[in-house]
Amino acid sequence: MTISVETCWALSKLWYPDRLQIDWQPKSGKRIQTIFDSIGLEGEFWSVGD
Amino acid sequence: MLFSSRESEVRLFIYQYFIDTAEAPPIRAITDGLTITKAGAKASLKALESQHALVLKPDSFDIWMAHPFSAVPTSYPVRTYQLTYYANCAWDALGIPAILEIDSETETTCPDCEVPVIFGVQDGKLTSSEGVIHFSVPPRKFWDDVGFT
Repeated sequence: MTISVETCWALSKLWYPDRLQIDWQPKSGKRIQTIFDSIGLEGEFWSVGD
Repeated sequence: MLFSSRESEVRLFIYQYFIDTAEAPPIRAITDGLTITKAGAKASLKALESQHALVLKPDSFDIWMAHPFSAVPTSYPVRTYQLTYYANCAWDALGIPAILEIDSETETTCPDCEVPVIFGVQDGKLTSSEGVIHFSVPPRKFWDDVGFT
């Protein structure tokens, strides 16, 4: 699956900055799906399931 | 909460060490930096790995990855004004400027056609929007073999 560099940059900005917070916890599947959906990463490939 | 306060402190220490040195901290740095025992540090590393907060090298307590950072050289060096970091993949090469909010430049080659590729970020924006980034593995399987991913 390929995505544009612009989409990957948008994903990076949503995915990574919270890692520097002391109370960071792994993202839930629901949170991950919300991030993907928000930048148009949809379909079976981007489905994380339950 | 999945992580204890100590595990969170170890995790953040690892990230800060990567940011400051572009390297992963050896376990001695963790024990000295946080004034904890070696056994305590090892337990935290294992707990963090079990929840995919980092990756250890096989059969060791050496840190391999704390995404987006790699402790070993990769095909995705991320040059910044201060240090050159190594990212685990093309996505992570953008993850480093995202997490550090810093300008970056990555020079690599297309894994498909071997053409040189340069991409990065300046003032919060991509320096070039050309090209695509390939994901070999769907997200639900990222951790089945994270080294391959």
